[in-house]
Amino acid sequence: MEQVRVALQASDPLSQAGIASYLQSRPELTLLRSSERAEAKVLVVSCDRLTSDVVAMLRRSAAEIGSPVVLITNEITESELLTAVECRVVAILPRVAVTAERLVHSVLTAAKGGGVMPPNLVGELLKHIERLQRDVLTPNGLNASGLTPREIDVLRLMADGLDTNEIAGELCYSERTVKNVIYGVTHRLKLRNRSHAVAYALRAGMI
Amino acid sequence: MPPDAESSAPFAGELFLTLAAEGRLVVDPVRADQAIAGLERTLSLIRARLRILRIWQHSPPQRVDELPDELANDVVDAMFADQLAPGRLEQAVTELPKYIEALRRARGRRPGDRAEIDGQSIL
Repeated sequence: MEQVRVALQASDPLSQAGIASYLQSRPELTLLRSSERAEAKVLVVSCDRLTSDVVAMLRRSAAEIGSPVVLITNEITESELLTAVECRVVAILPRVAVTAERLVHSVLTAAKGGGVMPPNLVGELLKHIERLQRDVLTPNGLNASGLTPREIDVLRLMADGLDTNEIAGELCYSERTVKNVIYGVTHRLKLRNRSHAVAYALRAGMI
Repeated sequence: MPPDAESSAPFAGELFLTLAAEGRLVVDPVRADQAIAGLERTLSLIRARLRILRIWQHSPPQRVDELPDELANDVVDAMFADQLAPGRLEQAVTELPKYIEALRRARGRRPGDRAEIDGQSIL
Protein backbone atom coordinates (compact mmCIF):
# COMPACT_ATOMS: atom_id res chain seq x y z
CA MET A 1 0.00 0.00 0.00
CA GLU A 2 1.28 3.45 -0.91
CA GLN A 3 2.03 5.59 2.10
CA VAL A 4 0.33 8.96 2.42
CA ARG A 5 2.85 11.75 2.81
CA VAL A 6 1.78 14.10 5.58
CA ALA A 7 3.13 17.47 6.68
CA LEU A 8 2.42 18.80 10.15
CA GLN A 9 2.26 22.35 11.47
CA ALA A 10 1.35 22.89 15.12
CA SER A 11 1.24 26.14 17.01
CA ASP A 12 3.24 24.83 19.98
CA PRO A 13 6.04 22.27 20.45
CA LEU A 14 4.00 20.00 22.70
CA SER A 15 1.19 19.63 20.17
CA GLN A 16 3.75 19.19 17.40
CA ALA A 17 5.42 16.34 19.29
CA GLY A 18 2.17 14.69 20.33
CA ILE A 19 0.53 14.76 16.91
CA ALA A 20 3.77 13.72 15.24
CA SER A 21 3.89 10.64 17.42
CA TYR A 22 0.28 9.81 16.45
CA LEU A 23 1.14 10.10 12.77
CA GLN A 24 4.48 8.29 12.95
CA SER A 25 2.91 5.33 14.72
CA ARG A 26 0.90 4.46 11.62
CA PRO A 27 2.50 2.46 8.82
CA GLU A 28 0.16 3.89 6.18
CA LEU A 29 1.48 7.43 6.81
CA THR A 30 4.83 9.11 6.29
CA LEU A 31 5.48 12.25 8.28
CA LEU A 32 7.54 14.68 6.23
CA ARG A 33 10.19 17.04 7.53
CA SER A 34 9.28 20.71 7.20
CA SER A 35 11.73 21.07 4.30
CA GLU A 36 9.74 18.41 2.40
CA ARG A 37 6.40 20.04 2.98
CA ALA A 38 5.80 20.79 -0.69
CA GLU A 39 5.52 17.03 -1.31
CA ALA A 40 2.71 16.55 1.19
CA LYS A 41 -0.46 14.85 0.06
CA VAL A 42 -2.23 16.10 3.20
CA LEU A 43 -1.38 18.92 5.60
CA VAL A 44 -2.31 18.65 9.28
CA VAL A 45 -2.55 21.98 11.11
CA SER A 46 -3.09 22.29 14.84
CA CYS A 47 -3.85 25.62 16.53
CA ASP A 48 -5.87 27.06 19.42
CA ARG A 49 -7.67 29.55 17.19
CA LEU A 50 -7.58 30.55 13.58
CA THR A 51 -5.40 33.63 14.13
CA SER A 52 -4.26 35.87 11.29
CA ASP A 53 -0.87 34.13 11.33
CA VAL A 54 -2.51 30.73 10.94
CA VAL A 55 -4.76 32.02 8.17
CA ALA A 56 -1.75 33.52 6.37
CA MET A 57 0.06 30.19 6.60
CA LEU A 58 -3.01 28.31 5.32
CA ARG A 59 -3.40 30.70 2.41
CA ARG A 60 0.26 30.33 1.49
CA SER A 61 0.01 26.60 1.70
CA ALA A 62 -3.18 26.50 -0.40
CA ALA A 63 -1.52 28.62 -3.08
CA GLU A 64 1.84 26.84 -3.10
CA ILE A 65 0.98 23.22 -2.34
CA GLY A 66 -2.79 22.97 -2.69
CA SER A 67 -3.07 19.86 -0.53
CA PRO A 68 -6.21 19.23 1.50
CA VAL A 69 -5.87 20.31 5.14
CA VAL A 70 -7.01 18.56 8.31
CA LEU A 71 -7.45 21.27 10.92
CA ILE A 72 -7.28 20.58 14.66
CA THR A 73 -8.53 23.52 16.69
CA ASN A 74 -10.40 24.48 19.84
CA GLU A 75 -13.24 26.45 18.29
CA ILE A 76 -14.14 28.17 15.10
CA THR A 77 -16.62 30.86 14.15
CA GLU A 78 -18.73 30.94 11.01
CA SER A 79 -16.54 33.46 9.22
CA GLU A 80 -13.44 31.50 10.24
CA LEU A 81 -15.06 28.38 8.84
CA LEU A 82 -15.51 30.12 5.48
CA THR A 83 -11.88 31.19 5.53
CA ALA A 84 -10.77 27.68 6.45
CA VAL A 85 -12.78 26.15 3.63
CA GLU A 86 -11.32 28.68 1.22
CA CYS A 87 -7.86 27.48 2.31
CA ARG A 88 -8.68 23.87 1.43
CA VAL A 89 -9.54 22.66 4.93
CA VAL A 90 -11.60 19.48 4.46
CA ALA A 91 -11.87 18.24 8.05
CA ILE A 92 -12.08 20.11 11.33
CA LEU A 93 -11.34 18.13 14.46
CA PRO A 94 -12.00 19.51 17.93
CA ARG A 95 -8.80 19.51 19.91
CA VAL A 96 -10.35 17.99 23.01
CA ALA A 97 -11.85 15.11 21.06
CA VAL A 98 -9.07 14.26 18.66
CA THR A 99 -7.75 10.72 18.95
CA ALA A 100 -5.05 8.97 16.97
CA GLU A 101 -7.70 6.89 15.19
CA ARG A 102 -9.86 9.83 14.26
CA LEU A 103 -6.91 11.88 13.06
CA VAL A 104 -5.50 9.08 10.94
CA HIS A 105 -8.91 8.32 9.47
CA SER A 106 -9.39 11.99 8.56
CA VAL A 107 -5.93 12.17 6.99
CA LEU A 108 -6.47 9.04 4.92
CA THR A 109 -9.89 10.17 3.75
CA ALA A 110 -8.58 13.63 2.91
CA ALA A 111 -5.87 11.99 0.80
CA LYS A 112 -8.43 9.82 -0.95
CA GLY A 113 -10.99 12.60 -1.43
CA GLY A 114 -8.57 14.95 -3.14
CA GLY A 115 -10.04 18.08 -1.60
CA VAL A 116 -13.75 17.34 -1.98
CA MET A 117 -15.49 18.48 1.18
CA PRO A 118 -17.09 15.80 3.33
CA PRO A 119 -20.83 15.85 4.07
CA ASN A 120 -20.44 17.29 7.59
CA LEU A 121 -18.56 20.31 6.28
CA VAL A 122 -21.05 20.75 3.44
CA GLY A 123 -23.76 20.65 6.12
CA GLU A 124 -22.07 23.52 7.94
CA LEU A 125 -21.93 25.53 4.71
CA LEU A 126 -25.63 24.93 4.13
CA LYS A 127 -26.27 26.16 7.69
CA HIS A 128 -24.33 29.30 6.80
CA ILE A 129 -26.72 29.84 3.87
CA GLU A 130 -29.76 29.44 6.14
CA ARG A 131 -28.31 31.79 8.75
CA LEU A 132 -27.46 34.36 6.10
CA GLN A 133 -31.06 34.44 4.88
CA ARG A 134 -32.39 34.77 8.43
CA ASP A 135 -29.97 37.64 9.12
CA VAL A 136 -31.26 39.53 6.10
CA LEU A 137 -34.95 38.71 6.48
CA THR A 138 -35.57 38.97 10.23
CA PRO A 139 -34.76 42.70 10.64
CA ASN A 140 -37.19 43.32 7.78
CA GLY A 141 -40.01 41.51 9.54
CA LEU A 142 -39.78 38.66 7.04
CA ASN A 143 -38.84 35.01 7.22
CA ALA A 144 -37.78 32.32 4.80
CA SER A 145 -41.24 30.76 4.76
CA GLY A 146 -42.34 33.66 2.58
CA LEU A 147 -44.88 34.79 5.14
CA THR A 148 -44.69 37.82 7.39
CA PRO A 149 -45.07 37.31 11.17
CA ARG A 150 -48.50 38.93 10.92
CA GLU A 151 -49.58 36.55 8.16
CA ILE A 152 -48.39 33.60 10.25
CA ASP A 153 -50.39 34.86 13.26
CA VAL A 154 -53.54 35.21 11.17
CA LEU A 155 -53.12 31.80 9.52
CA ARG A 156 -52.55 30.11 12.90
CA LEU A 157 -55.78 31.54 14.24
CA MET A 158 -57.62 30.58 11.04
CA ALA A 159 -56.29 27.06 11.52
CA ASP A 160 -57.72 27.16 15.05
CA GLY A 161 -61.15 27.85 13.53
CA LEU A 162 -61.49 31.53 14.41
CA ASP A 163 -63.47 33.77 12.04
CA THR A 164 -62.36 37.22 10.85
CA ASN A 165 -64.00 39.06 13.72
CA GLU A 166 -62.47 36.76 16.32
CA ILE A 167 -59.00 36.98 14.74
CA ALA A 168 -59.24 40.79 14.71
CA GLY A 169 -60.15 40.75 18.40
CA GLU A 170 -57.37 38.32 19.29
CA LEU A 171 -54.66 40.28 17.46
CA CYS A 172 -56.04 43.76 18.18
CA TYR A 173 -56.41 44.50 14.45
CA SER A 174 -59.37 45.88 12.57
CA GLU A 175 -61.43 43.38 10.59
CA ARG A 176 -60.35 45.23 7.46
CA THR A 177 -56.71 44.58 8.28
CA VAL A 178 -57.35 40.89 8.84
CA LYS A 179 -59.18 40.69 5.51
CA ASN A 180 -56.29 42.49 3.81
CA VAL A 181 -53.78 40.08 5.33
CA ILE A 182 -55.79 37.08 4.14
CA TYR A 183 -56.29 38.60 0.70
CA GLY A 184 -52.58 39.39 0.47
CA VAL A 185 -51.41 35.90 1.32
CA THR A 186 -53.93 34.05 -0.85
CA HIS A 187 -53.29 36.36 -3.79
CA ARG A 188 -49.51 36.19 -3.49
CA LEU A 189 -49.34 32.43 -3.10
CA LYS A 190 -52.09 31.89 -5.70
CA LEU A 191 -54.35 30.04 -3.27
CA ARG A 192 -58.05 29.53 -3.87
CA ASN A 193 -59.55 30.44 -0.51
CA ARG A 194 -58.95 30.57 3.24
CA SER A 195 -59.06 26.81 3.73
CA HIS A 196 -56.55 26.38 0.95
CA ALA A 197 -54.28 28.98 2.60
CA VAL A 198 -54.41 27.18 5.95
CA ALA A 199 -53.80 23.80 4.33
CA TYR A 200 -50.90 25.19 2.33
CA ALA A 201 -49.28 26.78 5.38
CA LEU A 202 -49.71 23.62 7.47
CA ARG A 203 -48.33 21.37 4.77
CA ALA A 204 -45.31 23.62 4.26
CA GLY A 205 -44.66 23.72 8.01
CA MET A 206 -45.12 27.49 8.04
CA ILE A 207 -47.55 27.47 10.95
CA MET B 1 -20.56 27.47 16.98
CA PRO B 2 -19.79 30.51 19.09
CA PRO B 3 -21.47 33.69 17.92
CA ASP B 4 -19.57 35.65 15.34
CA ALA B 5 -17.84 38.86 16.18
CA GLU B 6 -19.94 40.46 13.46
CA SER B 7 -23.65 40.81 14.09
CA SER B 8 -24.50 39.33 10.69
CA ALA B 9 -23.04 36.44 8.78
CA PRO B 10 -20.70 37.57 6.01
CA PHE B 11 -21.66 36.96 2.40
CA ALA B 12 -19.46 34.44 0.63
CA GLY B 13 -21.04 34.01 -2.78
CA GLU B 14 -17.71 34.13 -4.62
CA LEU B 15 -16.26 31.47 -2.33
CA PHE B 16 -19.20 29.15 -3.02
CA LEU B 17 -18.81 29.70 -6.77
CA THR B 18 -15.11 28.87 -6.53
CA LEU B 19 -15.74 25.75 -4.45
CA ALA B 20 -18.35 24.56 -6.94
CA ALA B 21 -16.22 25.38 -9.97
CA GLU B 22 -13.27 23.45 -8.52
CA GLY B 23 -15.48 20.48 -7.68
CA ARG B 24 -14.74 20.79 -3.97
CA LEU B 25 -18.38 21.46 -3.12
CA VAL B 26 -20.66 18.52 -3.83
CA VAL B 27 -24.22 18.70 -2.53
CA ASP B 28 -26.80 15.96 -2.44
CA PRO B 29 -29.44 16.86 -5.10
CA VAL B 30 -32.35 16.86 -2.65
CA ARG B 31 -30.59 19.16 -0.19
CA ALA B 32 -29.33 21.35 -3.02
CA ASP B 33 -32.84 21.74 -4.45
CA GLN B 34 -34.23 22.63 -1.02
CA ALA B 35 -31.52 25.21 -0.47
CA ILE B 36 -32.00 26.67 -3.95
CA ALA B 37 -35.79 26.93 -3.44
CA GLY B 38 -35.24 28.69 -0.10
CA LEU B 39 -32.74 31.10 -1.62
CA GLU B 40 -35.04 31.90 -4.53
CA ARG B 41 -37.90 32.59 -2.12
CA THR B 42 -35.65 34.83 -0.02
CA LEU B 43 -34.42 36.65 -3.10
CA SER B 44 -37.95 37.33 -4.24
CA LEU B 45 -38.90 38.68 -0.77
CA ILE B 46 -35.85 40.92 -0.72
CA ARG B 47 -36.56 42.27 -4.20
CA ALA B 48 -40.14 43.05 -3.16
CA ARG B 49 -38.87 44.82 -0.06
CA LEU B 50 -36.38 46.84 -2.10
CA ARG B 51 -39.14 47.88 -4.48
CA ILE B 52 -41.10 49.21 -1.50
CA LEU B 53 -38.06 51.11 -0.25
CA ARG B 54 -37.38 52.67 -3.65
CA ILE B 55 -41.02 53.65 -4.20
CA TRP B 56 -41.10 55.29 -0.78
CA GLN B 57 -37.78 57.06 -1.25
CA HIS B 58 -38.72 58.41 -4.69
CA SER B 59 -42.29 59.42 -4.01
CA PRO B 60 -43.16 62.96 -2.92
CA PRO B 61 -42.88 63.59 0.83
CA GLN B 62 -45.74 61.83 2.59
CA ARG B 63 -46.71 60.56 5.99
CA VAL B 64 -46.59 56.89 6.81
CA ASP B 65 -50.03 57.06 8.38
CA GLU B 66 -51.46 58.13 5.04
CA LEU B 67 -50.51 54.79 3.53
CA PRO B 68 -52.75 51.70 3.59
CA ASP B 69 -52.15 49.55 6.70
CA GLU B 70 -50.34 46.79 4.86
CA LEU B 71 -47.95 49.07 3.02
CA ALA B 72 -47.33 51.25 6.07
CA ASN B 73 -46.03 48.30 8.08
CA ASP B 74 -43.76 47.18 5.26
CA VAL B 75 -42.42 50.70 4.75
CA VAL B 76 -41.69 51.14 8.46
CA ASP B 77 -39.98 47.73 8.66
CA ALA B 78 -37.98 48.41 5.51
CA MET B 79 -36.86 51.90 6.56
CA PHE B 80 -35.89 50.74 10.04
CA ALA B 81 -33.97 47.70 8.81
CA ASP B 82 -32.18 49.83 6.23
CA GLN B 83 -31.07 52.24 8.94
CA LEU B 84 -29.74 49.39 11.10
CA ALA B 85 -27.82 47.75 8.28
CA PRO B 86 -27.58 50.13 5.33
CA GLY B 87 -27.10 48.42 1.99
CA ARG B 88 -27.60 44.92 3.38
CA LEU B 89 -30.58 44.20 1.11
CA GLU B 90 -28.76 45.47 -1.98
CA GLN B 91 -25.79 43.30 -1.07
CA ALA B 92 -28.07 40.30 -0.61
CA VAL B 93 -29.61 40.83 -4.05
CA THR B 94 -26.12 40.68 -5.56
CA GLU B 95 -24.84 37.79 -3.45
CA LEU B 96 -27.74 35.34 -3.23
CA PRO B 97 -27.77 34.57 -6.98
CA LYS B 98 -24.13 33.50 -6.62
CA TYR B 99 -25.12 30.96 -3.95
CA ILE B 100 -27.93 29.72 -6.18
CA GLU B 101 -25.59 29.32 -9.14
CA ALA B 102 -22.97 27.59 -6.97
CA LEU B 103 -25.53 25.11 -5.63
CA ARG B 104 -26.76 24.38 -9.15
CA ARG B 105 -23.20 23.58 -10.18
CA ALA B 106 -22.50 21.56 -7.03
CA ARG B 107 -25.74 19.61 -7.30
CA GLY B 108 -25.73 15.99 -8.23
CA ARG B 109 -22.13 15.22 -9.03
CA ARG B 110 -21.22 11.57 -9.11
CA PRO B 111 -21.50 10.03 -5.60
CA GLY B 112 -18.06 8.51 -6.08
CA ASP B 113 -16.59 12.00 -6.14
CA ARG B 114 -17.43 12.47 -2.51
CA ALA B 115 -14.96 11.81 0.25
CA GLU B 116 -16.10 10.14 3.45
CA ILE B 117 -14.49 11.94 6.31
CA ASP B 118 -15.95 11.53 9.75
CA GLY B 119 -14.15 14.57 11.11
CA GLN B 120 -16.27 15.49 14.09
CA SER B 121 -17.53 19.00 13.63
CA ILE B 122 -16.87 21.46 16.41
CA LEU B 123 -19.11 24.11 14.94
